[in-house]
Amino acid sequence: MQKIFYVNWRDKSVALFEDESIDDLEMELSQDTNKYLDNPESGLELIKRTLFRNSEKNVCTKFDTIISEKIFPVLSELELENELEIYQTLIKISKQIKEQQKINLLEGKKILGVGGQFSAGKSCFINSITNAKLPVDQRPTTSIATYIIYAETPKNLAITLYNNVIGLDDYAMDAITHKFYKQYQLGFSKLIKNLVVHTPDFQYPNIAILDTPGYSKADMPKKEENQDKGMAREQLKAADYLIWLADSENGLLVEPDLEFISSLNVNSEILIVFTKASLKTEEDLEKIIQNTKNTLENRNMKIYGVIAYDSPSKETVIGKGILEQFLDMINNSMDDSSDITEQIRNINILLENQLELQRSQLQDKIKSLEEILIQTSNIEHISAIVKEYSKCQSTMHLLNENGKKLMNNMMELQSITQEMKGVQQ
Amino acid sequence: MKTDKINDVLIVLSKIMDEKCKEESIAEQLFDEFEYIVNEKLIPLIGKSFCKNKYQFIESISNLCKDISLYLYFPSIINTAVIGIYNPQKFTDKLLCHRLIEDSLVLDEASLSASVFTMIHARLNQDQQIQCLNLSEKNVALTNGGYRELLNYAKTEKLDLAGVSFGFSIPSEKVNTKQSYVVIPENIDVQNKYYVSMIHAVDILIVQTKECNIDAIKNYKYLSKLFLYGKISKKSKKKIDKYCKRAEIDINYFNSLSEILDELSANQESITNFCYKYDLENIFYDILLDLSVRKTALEKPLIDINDNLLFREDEESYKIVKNLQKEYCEKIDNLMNFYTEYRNICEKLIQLIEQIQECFDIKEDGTYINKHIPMDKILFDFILKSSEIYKVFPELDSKGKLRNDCKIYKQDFGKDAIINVILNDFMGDEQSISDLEKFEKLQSDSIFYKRKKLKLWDKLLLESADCAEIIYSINDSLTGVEKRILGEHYLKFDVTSTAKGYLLDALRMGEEDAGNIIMDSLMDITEQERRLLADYGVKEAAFQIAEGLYNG
Repeated sequence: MQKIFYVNWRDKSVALFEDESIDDLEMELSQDTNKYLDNPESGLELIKRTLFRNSEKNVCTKFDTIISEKIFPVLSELELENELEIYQTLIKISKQIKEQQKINLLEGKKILGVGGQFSAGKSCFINSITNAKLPVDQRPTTSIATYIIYAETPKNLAITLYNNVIGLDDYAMDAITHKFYKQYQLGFSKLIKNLVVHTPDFQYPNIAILDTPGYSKADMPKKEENQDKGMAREQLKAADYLIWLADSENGLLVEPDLEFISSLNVNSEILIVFTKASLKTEEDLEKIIQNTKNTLENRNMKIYGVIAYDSPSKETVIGKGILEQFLDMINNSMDDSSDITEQIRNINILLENQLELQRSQLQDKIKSLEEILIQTSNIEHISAIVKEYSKCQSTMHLLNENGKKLMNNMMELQSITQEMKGVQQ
Repeated sequence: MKTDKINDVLIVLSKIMDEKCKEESIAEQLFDEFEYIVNEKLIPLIGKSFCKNKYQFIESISNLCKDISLYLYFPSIINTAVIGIYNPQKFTDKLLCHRLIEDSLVLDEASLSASVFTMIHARLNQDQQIQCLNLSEKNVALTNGGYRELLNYAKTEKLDLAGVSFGFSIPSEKVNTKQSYVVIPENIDVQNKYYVSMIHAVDILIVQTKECNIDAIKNYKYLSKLFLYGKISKKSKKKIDKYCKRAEIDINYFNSLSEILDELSANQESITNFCYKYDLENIFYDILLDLSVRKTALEKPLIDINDNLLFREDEESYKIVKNLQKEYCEKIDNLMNFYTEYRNICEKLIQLIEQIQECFDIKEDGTYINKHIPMDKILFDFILKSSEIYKVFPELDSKGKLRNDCKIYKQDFGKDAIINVILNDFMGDEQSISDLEKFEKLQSDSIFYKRKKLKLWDKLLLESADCAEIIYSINDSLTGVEKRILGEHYLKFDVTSTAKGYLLDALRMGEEDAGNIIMDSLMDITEQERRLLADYGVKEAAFQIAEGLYNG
């Protein structure tokens, strides 16, 4: 972590990071005035707005009760191959429902998560592809997961800890993401869950780019590291697609990155982007990309492509056109998997297929055992097969019973989400 | 508001909202490692397994982590009697402030937060400061002045402190070292990450009678005493008394809050609350118990399989039996690999929890045992589970371990005869008749105890009606054996259709005897049921079908 020094600037104690000089600070703080910083009362008012708590009831309770009390116990009895995947999807949906405000703001858009370590250059990269102006020097302590979406009129919204949506002018945005921390060492990342930046300059109306906090920093104490990691993971798990950034200075995709990507369980193909490409020769970059491709292939990771990119010049150095193709593909995708009802429908299909597969495998086993049983001359000598046969019958019975229960519970879940959708509309 | 006041509030807020990591205590570092192993190793391992009730297990272990963290964040409540005060602010604030917090902190109003809980504990030295647990889960020290500014601003400007803090802790000379108070405001955020853990920590709850709501009290999982004050109707009193009796909560009525505080200050009894080794092991053993059941079920068919392989009836059947042998052996190997990995993780976690406890000079053994949670029940269940698990997964010193746990139980909770029965059953030793009688008569809700009783039915001389009664009281899905026992019980009373239902269920769950009982009992069975019985390997049913086919 960078060292912070506190200096006196116009009778205020102001934070100065180790890579900054007092002149930088003077220039930065004096260039433009910010009412939230110049007038402490406005600053406090801004904090107050983010802290407002509704006494609303949790709409998710019914959903959670069904999954935890009805679906999970039956699910664990069934011993399905992709049980964990189904469990994770249901948990993800539950989280999505809890973030209804976010869903409303992002409705119909595919979420493209951008992840990577702290110094991977995420904000620079996002600014270069969206033409937004995210502050590029966010410290881990000030970083808030931010969505960038297309809109005719620019505006900034914040989704608070208590799921309220508040509008932020540019000064408030600047203060929250950056300057408040500089002046008061006061971070908003725990008060604001997400920022949503609407910009007319982003060319992909069906995509919401998600800028997440970096997940690791070598000199960080374990607890903080784990918290940041957990936060980045939580945010990125909600994404439909993923761009993973890595610093080309590192030479390759490091092991913690690979582990982290695996833990996200992303279903779609991932685009790997090596940033700061101008700092390396093309030959080096080619090597890095080839090595990365080999590593990912060996790990059976679904990859859309690996490219080298230079954010300041907005230029793809290696793998020209891949980034644009990737964005076009997402933007034109007809897949409606971000819709909750659709997600539940998909789980239903997955469950039906799994149950059917288990049934047919079991049926085949029963048949083959049956043939042996019919042909035998001394059934006492194959008592193990008799017992296996009756065990298969018993498993089939339980499979049918639990399968029925599970599908009924899933139907209940589907009607709840439809009901919620109706209320929302 | 004056600018300098606003600046003061901003300074306090910036302190509270500080997310930078501070140096952690050794206990906190150890707990970080503990949580890391739980989240990164244990939960993913369980998630991938086919263990019964794994989701409940994950929930239990995650909740336990939160409960432990609360004590680490507020170590001053360790080994004190935690007294919760439900505070509907406007009526009680002033009194609480004057009785519990130091005069220098008392304001005209708003000395206690209206939206987050405040722990008030004994002042151990003059350097102790007010602490605020912020949302980054870091304890931030505040000066009395800073605290007063913040609380005053929060009250007058309606600033919700739940958005910046999980809770405050205040040292006070007015509180004795054996107690600590937690003030729970009416407007507390129940979504607060530590709300549930905080109410779990409460031993004694003080509530005004008109605010007393049984549903809310139910959430105080480890409440031992309830102190109510104010007028109460006969009807409400009856209802509360009834609930408290059932929940084993000691209830006391007072005229005023002041009277309760007098009574409490005269009481100097502390409560040992920060011992989690046995609680943790008890949770871990749920999975081990499930594994032991699975392993036994997998080993059972191997007897027949190995026996059949001696005959080599024909090539085709030999191949199938050989494959079955391979299949079962692989399943057992996988189970054993999982067991080894799980056991190693559990051992590491137990070791860590012991190290954390030692940071507070707590060595959990017979003389030092958690008195806040129902350790009697936890340890009893643990012994019952161990006695089953060690039979299937014998460890180097299973006998010694079980003996030691039994010794601790006897030392703390008595019931020697009951424990002797469990121990003797495990060791294969002869049982004393008087011990068995006491074991049979024990009143306990433990499903493990009930199941042990069923296993020892012959020694306990239980009739089928006794067994049925026990089974009815088991609050869990029934096993094949239990369904078979119920079926036999109904059969005795000629309730054949119910009996048949239970017996068929038992058969489907692998209870072979259940099928023979149906055939032997001359029950009316349909052709379809006969086929079903034959499918489940009931010889007599298969014979009857074959006979029918033979006779045309």
